[in-house]
Amino acid sequence: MLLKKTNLFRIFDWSIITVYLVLVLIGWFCVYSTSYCPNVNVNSFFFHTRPGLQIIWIFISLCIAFLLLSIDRNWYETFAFVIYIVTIILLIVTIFFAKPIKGSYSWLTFGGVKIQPVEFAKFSTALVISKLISKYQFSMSEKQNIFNVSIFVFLPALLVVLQKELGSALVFFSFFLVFYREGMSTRIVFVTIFIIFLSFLIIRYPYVVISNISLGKLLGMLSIILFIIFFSSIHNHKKKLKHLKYLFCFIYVILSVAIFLILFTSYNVEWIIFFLFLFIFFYLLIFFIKVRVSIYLFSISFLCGSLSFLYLTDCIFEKLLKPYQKNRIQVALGMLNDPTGAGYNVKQSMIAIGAGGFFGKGYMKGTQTQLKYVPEQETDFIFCTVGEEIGFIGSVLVLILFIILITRIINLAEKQKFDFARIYGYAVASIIFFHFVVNIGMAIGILPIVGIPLPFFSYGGSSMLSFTILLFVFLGLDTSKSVIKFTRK
Amino acid sequence: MNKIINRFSFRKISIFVVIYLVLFIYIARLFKIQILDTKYKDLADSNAFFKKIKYPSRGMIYDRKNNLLACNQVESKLRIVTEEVNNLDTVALCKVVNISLDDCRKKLNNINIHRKSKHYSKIFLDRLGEQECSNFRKNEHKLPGFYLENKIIRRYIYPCAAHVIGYVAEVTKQHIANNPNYQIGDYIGQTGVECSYEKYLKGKKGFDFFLQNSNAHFDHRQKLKIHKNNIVPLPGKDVTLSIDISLQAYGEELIKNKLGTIIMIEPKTGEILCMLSSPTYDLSFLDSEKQLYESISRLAKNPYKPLFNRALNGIYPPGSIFKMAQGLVFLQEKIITPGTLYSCRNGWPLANGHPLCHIHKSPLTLTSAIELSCNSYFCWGFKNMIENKKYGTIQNALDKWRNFMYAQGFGEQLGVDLPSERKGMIPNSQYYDKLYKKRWNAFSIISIAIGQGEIALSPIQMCNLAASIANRGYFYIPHIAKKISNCRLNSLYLHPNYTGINSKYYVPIIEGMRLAVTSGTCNLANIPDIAVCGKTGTAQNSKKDHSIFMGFAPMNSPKIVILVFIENGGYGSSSAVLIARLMIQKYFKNTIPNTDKWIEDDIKKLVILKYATKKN
Repeated sequence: MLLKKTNLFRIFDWSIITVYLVLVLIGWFCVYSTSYCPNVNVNSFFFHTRPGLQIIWIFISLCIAFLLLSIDRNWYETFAFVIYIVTIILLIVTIFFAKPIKGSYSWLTFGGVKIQPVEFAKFSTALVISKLISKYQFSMSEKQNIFNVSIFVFLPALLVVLQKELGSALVFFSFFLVFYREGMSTRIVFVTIFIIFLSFLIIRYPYVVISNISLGKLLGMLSIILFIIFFSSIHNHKKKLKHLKYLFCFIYVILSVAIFLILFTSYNVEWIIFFLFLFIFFYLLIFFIKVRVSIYLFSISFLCGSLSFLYLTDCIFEKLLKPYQKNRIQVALGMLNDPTGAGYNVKQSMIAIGAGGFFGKGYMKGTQTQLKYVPEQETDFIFCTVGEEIGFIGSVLVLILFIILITRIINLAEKQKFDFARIYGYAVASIIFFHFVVNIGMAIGILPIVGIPLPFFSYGGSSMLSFTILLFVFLGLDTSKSVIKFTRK
Repeated sequence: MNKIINRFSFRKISIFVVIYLVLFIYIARLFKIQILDTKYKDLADSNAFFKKIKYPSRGMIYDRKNNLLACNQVESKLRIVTEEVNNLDTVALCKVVNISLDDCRKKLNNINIHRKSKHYSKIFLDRLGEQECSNFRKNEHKLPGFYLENKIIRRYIYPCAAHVIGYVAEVTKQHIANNPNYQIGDYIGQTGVECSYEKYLKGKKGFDFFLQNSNAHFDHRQKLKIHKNNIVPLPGKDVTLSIDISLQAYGEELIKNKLGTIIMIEPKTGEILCMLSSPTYDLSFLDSEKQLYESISRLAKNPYKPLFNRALNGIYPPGSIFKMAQGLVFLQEKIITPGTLYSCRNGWPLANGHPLCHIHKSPLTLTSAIELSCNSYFCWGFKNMIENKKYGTIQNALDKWRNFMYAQGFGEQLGVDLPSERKGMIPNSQYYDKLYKKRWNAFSIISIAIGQGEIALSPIQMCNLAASIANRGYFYIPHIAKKISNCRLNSLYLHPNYTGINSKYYVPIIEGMRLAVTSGTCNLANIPDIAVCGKTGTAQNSKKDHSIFMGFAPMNSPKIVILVFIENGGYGSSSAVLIARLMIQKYFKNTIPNTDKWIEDDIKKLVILKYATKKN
């Protein structure tokens, strides 16, 4: 009886496989719709067209997926580093040998077949990280460990940046979700969110209000103070907040003096603010020396770090970013309306999705899609086709399918007996989630344009293959758990 | 089996919260742009469909005898797109469009043929003939960069009736703001029938839809035509006017060099047979857009105001012709009877001989008062009405009187189907209460008894008075449209309006008017074989008196009503009556008998212009 249950086909997680197949199928129909061209000679060989090539890649992916399901889990743990090193070498090779395609140097050509090593680097990095963290008595709570693991994440990310594929490099940040799950301090998460918030403020509100200080900076400084007060108060509930009272009083006095000076004199307020921060700095320093609680040290370093970040962001935004990248960010933040440049893609994409309405215009009947108004519509903006041709219903269906896939992977990961499988599962979920958020977010005009594909949807062999491998390796790991479970019983 | 306890398992929950939050935000966003916002659908359509407007042909305008007055004409232009021109064969071009080589070179130089910037194009040749057009179509492939453009322009056949027909011009921003159906480049009627019947004449625009792909924004040749959604333009409806263009032209000839207006109405239907206002202008200036605006601004600066339609927009004191309306009201209100006698001593005796009157027999009846145009008779009548006890107060009496005047078509727009008609003025008691601070009596307002003072009528209202007299108690609102191809005329023009005065009271008035023609003030209008009834008027104003003649013919079963108004024409009988005489004969006999030729010549030569008289 029990032996019957060990049948491999029984123990696969069929729900994930079903969702995967449905997504791939919808994706292929979308690619077919975007590539349909009534004027092109019908007699031309089907497998030379995009949907034809995509079908070949899907077939290859399914074959590989089947093979992966039969590989033992130990194999991955053993060869994780080897795979990682191979992909790193591939990435380095790509930098030197790639021919530029649309401004990026990320494609390697092997006898007519183009592959993007970046896509596979995500998989190998996921393996390496799982291997590292799952080591016995390895704790992500320690800062040294976080640093060590981060090196393995940032190395491929840096190489990808060198290939001028900024979007794909950002994907590697999704591993921090895994780190968080594995015990990375919550403070880091808060600080990261706060830093994103600060840079948003500075970029979004560059208008100068008083004495050379922009509105963004002013709001940033205010939020730094609030953040420190908030932080020290939640860690201070036992000490009755006595020392905080003085801090509050002083801040109130300084602020009222500052407001008085702004209203009645032309005094440079920057100095007042500088002294205010200096005071807070020394105040906290004295307390740290007296009490030696790490919260004060954290507050001090946070204060210095965020203030310098505040002043650096301006420079980074103005000088380091390329004009088109700046443009994209400004368009996404709604500061620029640039219907011919960076705004064109977003505008056309939103028109396509918005025109779909509730039921969509019908398969192969979307004017935006069929008349090729959305640039990159079979790769990065594939979601437009869903939005326009299947409408709100289709879009929500696709969103829900993705969320089902991701939550199912996480749930499955939590059930894993071995740390390696769990961490790898989280890595898979994080990568897919990041792609999903960024790709659809830019298509519906919430996030800036970042050229990364929608998993299982977008046209392209490398991404199809790499996401399939990513997913099915996890399913393979999951199977071995079940096999072990059943054999032990 | 021992369960693995992980310290950080609870963090799964916060991760799930983030995931569901993203899902919620994205679904909300999709809901907003796909369901709440409808603008994206329109934007997608404006991307995908290139709408080519097909203009309908504007309706024709005919006169009552089916003479074509206004039509459309295709004008061909040759446009040159310098960017696409290469290896231009100038000789071939000259042959095709039939111009000399020198001329051609000059034109090409003017156009600056070597400027090859994008979207630069100019009109190479205007007004191509049919022969040249077909020649060009045959040789089109040899002349890259040249395109034939057809433009429909409005053509007016006759150089008269400008005020009646009006003209069309391109819509302005204000028109578009008022009526979103118009777009830049559309034509709209500006005055006259072209304006008032715009909605019939205009027709309905058609559209050809072209699917254009994203590249078509830059290349208009990549279009896929779809047939099913195309909208065929509906041509405008033809309008037949009630005017007789030959009568109109004759009238304009007579009134040349005089300021004034002639209106003729068919009283049985209210159709306007001719309506002209002098000075007038020639509609043929519409040939080109540029010329139109120049001409209009030039006409607007002319001190005689040729753009001003005096027949509808002029407001004048009616003078003696107002006496008929007065007499009718007195009879209806039983203030007088046809036999009532009033005295006149070269003026109204009650107010020391004011207003003045000319020498005639005294006392007299209503009929002779009209025949001799006695001022005093109507002052008596008016005073007796205003001060009559049956109305209670003087205010009530005046308002009663005013209501009768309104019923005869005064004081308000009649509703003529031409734009910008003026109201005129019939004062009411509130007006005088305000003016005299409630201290007024019949003597203070006596000048309105004889059609002077505050009374002001437009010529069409005066003419309408004649129509209601001719019809003995009712009138049709004067209108210019006789037929609109297959539509019904506005019902306003198909029902008679009653004046509220019994038809028996018209008899003494008409008798008086007939006597005025045979033996009274306007005996110059006495035509041997047509029983003309008429009345002169001399409207006093700051300059020389206006000369007015109002009449109808024949006496029984009237066919026409005529009003001639000559600004500063002097005493009523001097010019207006003569013009009326000629117009009536022209209508009934179609020619002027030899015995009257000298009158025709005299009238044509007569010059009455303000600035000309000032110099004398």
